[in-house]
Amino acid sequence: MDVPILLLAGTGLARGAIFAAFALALVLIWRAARIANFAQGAMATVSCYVAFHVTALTGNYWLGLAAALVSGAVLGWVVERGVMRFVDRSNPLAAVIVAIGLVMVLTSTLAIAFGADYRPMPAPFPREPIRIGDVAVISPYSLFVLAVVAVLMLALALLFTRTGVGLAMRAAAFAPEVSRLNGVRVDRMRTLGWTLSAAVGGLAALLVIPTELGLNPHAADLLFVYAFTVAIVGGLDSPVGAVVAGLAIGVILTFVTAFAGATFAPIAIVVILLGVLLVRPQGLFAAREARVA
Amino acid sequence: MTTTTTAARAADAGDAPMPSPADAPGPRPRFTATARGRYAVAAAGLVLAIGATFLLDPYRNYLLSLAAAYVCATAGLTILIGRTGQLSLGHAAFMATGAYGFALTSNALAEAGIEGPVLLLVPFLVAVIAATAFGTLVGAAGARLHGPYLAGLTLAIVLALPAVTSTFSGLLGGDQGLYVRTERRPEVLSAVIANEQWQAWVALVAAAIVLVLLAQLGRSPSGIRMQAVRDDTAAARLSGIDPFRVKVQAFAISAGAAGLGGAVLAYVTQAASPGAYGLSFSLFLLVAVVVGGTGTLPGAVWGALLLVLLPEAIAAVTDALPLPDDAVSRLDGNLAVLIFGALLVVIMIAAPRGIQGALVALRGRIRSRTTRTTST
Amino acid sequence: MTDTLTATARHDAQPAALLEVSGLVAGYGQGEVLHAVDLSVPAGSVVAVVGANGAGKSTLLRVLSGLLPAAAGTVRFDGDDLASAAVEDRIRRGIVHVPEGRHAVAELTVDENLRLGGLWRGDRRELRADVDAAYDLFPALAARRTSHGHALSGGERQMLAIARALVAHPRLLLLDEPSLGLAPRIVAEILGTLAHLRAERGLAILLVEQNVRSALSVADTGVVLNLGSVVAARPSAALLDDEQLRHAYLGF
Repeated sequence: MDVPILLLAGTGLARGAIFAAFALALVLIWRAARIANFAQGAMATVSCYVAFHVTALTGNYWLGLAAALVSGAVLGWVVERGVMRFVDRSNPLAAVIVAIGLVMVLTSTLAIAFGADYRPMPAPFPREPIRIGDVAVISPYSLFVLAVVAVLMLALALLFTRTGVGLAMRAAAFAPEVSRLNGVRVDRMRTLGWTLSAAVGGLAALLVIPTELGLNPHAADLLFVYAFTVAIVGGLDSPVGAVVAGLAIGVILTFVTAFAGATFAPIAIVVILLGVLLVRPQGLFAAREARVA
Repeated sequence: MTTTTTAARAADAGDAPMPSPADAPGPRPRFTATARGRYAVAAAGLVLAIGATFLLDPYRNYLLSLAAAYVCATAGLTILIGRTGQLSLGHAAFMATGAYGFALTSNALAEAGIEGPVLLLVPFLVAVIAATAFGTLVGAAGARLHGPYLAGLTLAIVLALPAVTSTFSGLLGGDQGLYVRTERRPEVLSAVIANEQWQAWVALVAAAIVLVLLAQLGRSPSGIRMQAVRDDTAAARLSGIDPFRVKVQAFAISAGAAGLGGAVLAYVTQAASPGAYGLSFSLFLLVAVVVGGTGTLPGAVWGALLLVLLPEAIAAVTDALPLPDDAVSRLDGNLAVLIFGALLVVIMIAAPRGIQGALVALRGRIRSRTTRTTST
Repeated sequence: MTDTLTATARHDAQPAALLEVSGLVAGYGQGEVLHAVDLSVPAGSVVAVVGANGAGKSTLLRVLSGLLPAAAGTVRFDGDDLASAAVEDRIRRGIVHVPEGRHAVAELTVDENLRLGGLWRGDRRELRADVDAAYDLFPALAARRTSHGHALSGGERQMLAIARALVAHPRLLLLDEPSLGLAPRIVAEILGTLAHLRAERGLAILLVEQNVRSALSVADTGVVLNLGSVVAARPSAALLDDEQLRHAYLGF
């Protein structure tokens, strides 16, 4: 078999970019609220259903994309203000368990409202690769994904390093009491973190679904697990770790899928997780005390 | 967890009796703190429950078997979460390990023409060993991890299960799973009871064994070490406890209990398939633990009963309502998930000590009222 | 700066105190730490709260800044009762708290830490000017503006905490143990800067100190707190002269 290494690498990078974006959404909430948002996959799926229907109604992909961002933001706001705010903060597992409850509520509501069928999600650009001579290089859709994620990363980097709100969000995440003493409204920053994170998560899920089986209430389950693996490898505290680990795992999984079949990918993830945790429990990047008990 | 911390502390203080085994059916006598007393309570409870099987029709005995199988898993999980603060979202995977371990062993033995007690007991033993071994591996990988990371790891494992069964479909039967050839009820009983009733007996015995052993564990030095590690890892380490070992041990025990639960399910349903141990089911186990009352064995029993009864009740209601077929098929299963999810959120926020916490509080109130009336 | 607020608020009033605390009760859980504390800080003055360890000095500051809710009593600032106002709102009124322990945010640079102090005003240009003014006051910080908080020395962190508080345009600064663990030279430098600010901006300071002599040397008034109650509130000089009081409560 003639292996299209270049195509696989490009597809893998695009996939990895999506994982990185989704992992970044996890990092955003972790840094803002010290909560690992297990509901992020389900929340992103809700955004994708909104986007799907907006696109179906208007015939315009871009309106759907905007709707995913907006509905994600709204959902993040609602979840933080309506639920997470009331969770016992002294219990480190409480937020995870409540998030699991949200997953169950959101996915079952979607299944009751729209059924469990896979719906094909339109892609704005062809997924067939561009060929140079005989060599398949990369698909326009992969290029689109890479561009969107690059813009997203840049925007987030600018937000956090160049703006007052970004500074306030970072300060509130690292040192809530000191930030309050400096007039930062820490609870608003937390809400903002959720809002931003859910918008990013919705966008990432919207990008990945055309490359998977289609839209379904559980469409983002595996995306969440992949992104969570990325976070374990890269560190929930580290945006840079999320990006690097995301790209790496995207490429690895794409090659695994090409050589061993798509069903093997979830096993590969468990093997990677077990391997990393058994061999280097502190992660592949700098030691992160945050995840060690 | 704070909620369980308070619950466990209250238990230590004596106002909430340590979960004792035989809580499944009916009220139980005041608890005596000796091991012998606990065995007596367990035996009495078991006899009562087995007596109850004579009053139930085969379908209800089947449901009772399911509940007993779930008790094995929820009891293991509640000890893990409550005692060591380790959150597993993947206990369905350990149940599946037990179920497949049981199925493969039972089929192999039946193939070899072996019958009788060996065909009944050896598959259970193999199931528990397999699940414990897998639990040790996962526990070792996860023992150094905080709650959310470990939860993520176990989530990945349960989501990978269908991939495992289809990758090794020659052995594990792919999506269809395996049909399990099992030892049926002994010849002497076949005239007296239906096979469902016999299965309920087996399931109840398994659940009783798990509950007694876990209650013993809670009182033993190992159990105290687990609590020490959860409450303050650094302090535990200073007093010579190896937190890594304690956590792995707890995880292995918990997985073994879940494995026995899976084996019971395989025995009762005569099947082992990936669909039965999916993500939803795994999360249901968590719901059962939390709603029952995290860290308490009676809570694990309440939770397991809820897992069996609530979907039955929902199905009865949706069947009775004049709904179009399409709507019924969409509600089927999903409505239970919706209600369980909402319960999980509400209980965690509003009543984190769950049903058992409410019962303990109620009993305390009644007791204080009676003492007040007698004293005045 | 803060002048608009002051001007509209009290152009006709008597020279009442900027901060007027009466009957303040507070504590943690069941334990009451402060029992009916009365205290007043006139505008532009320095009041030192002194007393033994555990007297409730830091608790007093935490209640005044809003970190700890008051169980009873009133906290009037510039005429308004702030007893139930949130921390973030008190800062907007001009009460800024520098807690003990030099809370530089370790993950942020010196420059970011300083900007943090004035973010709430939302005026970028003014903020830049304020941060630059803070560098002028504490030149040692200017040299380290791109260093992260965790890389600073104890003295630098204390300077950073005070400089950051100044960026917030305080009218009343609540300072907790600014001299703890610092070299006397640095303490002198910090106290000198504060005296300068008081003269220039009319800044009022409520100072909590273990180091009674140095605190009373810069304060107009000394308040002696013992086991959660005020046992004396007098001009600093009078307090230093009262040998009996010194022996009983201040240990020198």
